[in-house]
Amino acid sequence: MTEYLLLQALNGLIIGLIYALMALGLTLIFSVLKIVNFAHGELYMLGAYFSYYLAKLFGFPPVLAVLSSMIIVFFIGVVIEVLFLRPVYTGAVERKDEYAILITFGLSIFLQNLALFVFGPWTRRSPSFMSGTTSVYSLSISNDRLFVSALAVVFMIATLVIIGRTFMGKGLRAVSQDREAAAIAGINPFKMNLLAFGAGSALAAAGGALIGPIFLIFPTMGAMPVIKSFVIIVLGGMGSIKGCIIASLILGEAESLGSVLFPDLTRGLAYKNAIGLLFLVVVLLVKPTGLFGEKHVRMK
Amino acid sequence: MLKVTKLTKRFGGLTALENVSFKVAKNEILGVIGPNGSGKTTLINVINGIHKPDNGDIFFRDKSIGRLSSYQIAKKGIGRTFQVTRIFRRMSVMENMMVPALSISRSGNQEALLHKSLGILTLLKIVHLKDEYGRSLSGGQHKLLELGRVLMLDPDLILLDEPFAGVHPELKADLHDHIRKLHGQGKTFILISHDMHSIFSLSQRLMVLSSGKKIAHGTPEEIKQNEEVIEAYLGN
Ligand SMILES: Nc1ncnc2c1ncn2[C@@H]1O[C@H](COP(=O)(O)OP(=O)(O)OP(=O)(O)O)[C@@H](O)[C@H]1O
Ligand SMILES: [Mg+2]
Repeated sequence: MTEYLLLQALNGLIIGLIYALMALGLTLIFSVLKIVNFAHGELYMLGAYFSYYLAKLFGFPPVLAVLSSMIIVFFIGVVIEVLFLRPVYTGAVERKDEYAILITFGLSIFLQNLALFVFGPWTRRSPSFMSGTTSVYSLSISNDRLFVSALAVVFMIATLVIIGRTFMGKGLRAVSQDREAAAIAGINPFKMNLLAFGAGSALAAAGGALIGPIFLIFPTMGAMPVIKSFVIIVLGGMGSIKGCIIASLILGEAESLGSVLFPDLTRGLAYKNAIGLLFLVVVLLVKPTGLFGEKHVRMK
Repeated sequence: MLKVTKLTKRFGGLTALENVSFKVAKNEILGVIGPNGSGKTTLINVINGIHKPDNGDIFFRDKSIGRLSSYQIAKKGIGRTFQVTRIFRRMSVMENMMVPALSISRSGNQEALLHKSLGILTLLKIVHLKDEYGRSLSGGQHKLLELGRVLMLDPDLILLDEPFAGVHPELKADLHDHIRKLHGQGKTFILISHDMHSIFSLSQRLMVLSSGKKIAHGTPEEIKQNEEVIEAYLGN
């Protein structure tokens, strides 16, 4: 039983890391643009498909396929920002929050159906990154899962370094804290929007591309993870990066362990998706701003 | 250096600025005074692009800037501070100073920019706070940091909105010194203040706004004598 629990904990960690990538992207977009991107799950889905096709059809090595897929989705994000979200910031739309919700929600449905049309309803699986399994004591875990976790950590650290250390990161943070004051300091807020949406999209794509060899790829694969990401960013305290990563890991573990520790094991798995929401409700009752939230953020 | 022509700004039915025209010469300190709500802050907001003018235009070094965005105007060399300071609270003092770096990094490497920001912080006597978070500073220190952040962009024209409000008298004297020193280095200022002593002693020329209209301009001595000004403002 202990072994089984450990294995579940490890799985929870891996899922948590994938959640973290996705939620980090969502947080980045939310902090800078003050928009909740309802199409985030579809960017995750596109990331998985692109990576799959690049590997399958063009023979890209898996890691290169993941990176290329991230780059493609970065530019898709940029196009989405320019075409659909720019009007929010040029004063062309009046009810900004409502507009942003409707437009990204519509985009989500459109992209799901486009994927269904183009890629078909079949499930697929990306080629594995690394075959075989690794045994630590009596635990054995697939190399793919280890590799995916390592890459997820690398992407996460890269994101944190860019945000924390570079001039560009300071620009992004400045815009997220005070758009006008950042503009006064010479930062082009439109450019930061583009960057944040592109990079946020690329992070979602990374999540999808990494999950490709482990889980299945299908047009609506993003629907559940995006809800998890919403839970995570609310749990972490809208906009807090530290909160987002910690909440992702907590959620991954809570789901993974919660479903095996559930008293009736035959039903445990069925309750998996409810556990995160339950946890969210409890946290919000105690601390309405989330684990690391400061105060309410809203679009001006 | 700056020329404002027939500037009008409305907020719905309220006319915050009406037909305001004036010029600021290079290396001048122009003081702007007027009762609460007379449009002083709005004037600065329009000059640096936070609000777009409804009418009229603004020329900086003979080029129209009335339609440009704030960040473009900042890059052209107009800096400003806010009446209610707007520093980045969740960044350290040093990070606050480095925010403009992204837009000027072509003109210097990281080392040089770091050096520059330390120099400015030293000048403003807040270098010891460089690793503190923005939110943990006092109100007066916020004003200094905001001025420091403005100086990172090397603006030729600096717009100061109530720099002395709520500032400790000692710090106020320091701020006077900083303004005089920067003026000595060739900077041009538009200074808004309710602090009559400060603004009359620092400004070379004064402009008086009342209900969005320019009601007078002249040297501090002339303004002190002006009947209309006394009635509208100084009298009470
Ligand atoms: N963004 C805005 N939206 C609507 N009305 C505004 C806005 N900004 C300013 N106003 C209005 O414009 C008028 C001028 O305001 P402004 O802030 O320019 O005055 P001020 O001279 O700076 O006053 P104070 O001395 O109190 O700082 C006021 O009536 C104010 O309510
Ligand atoms: Mg004001």
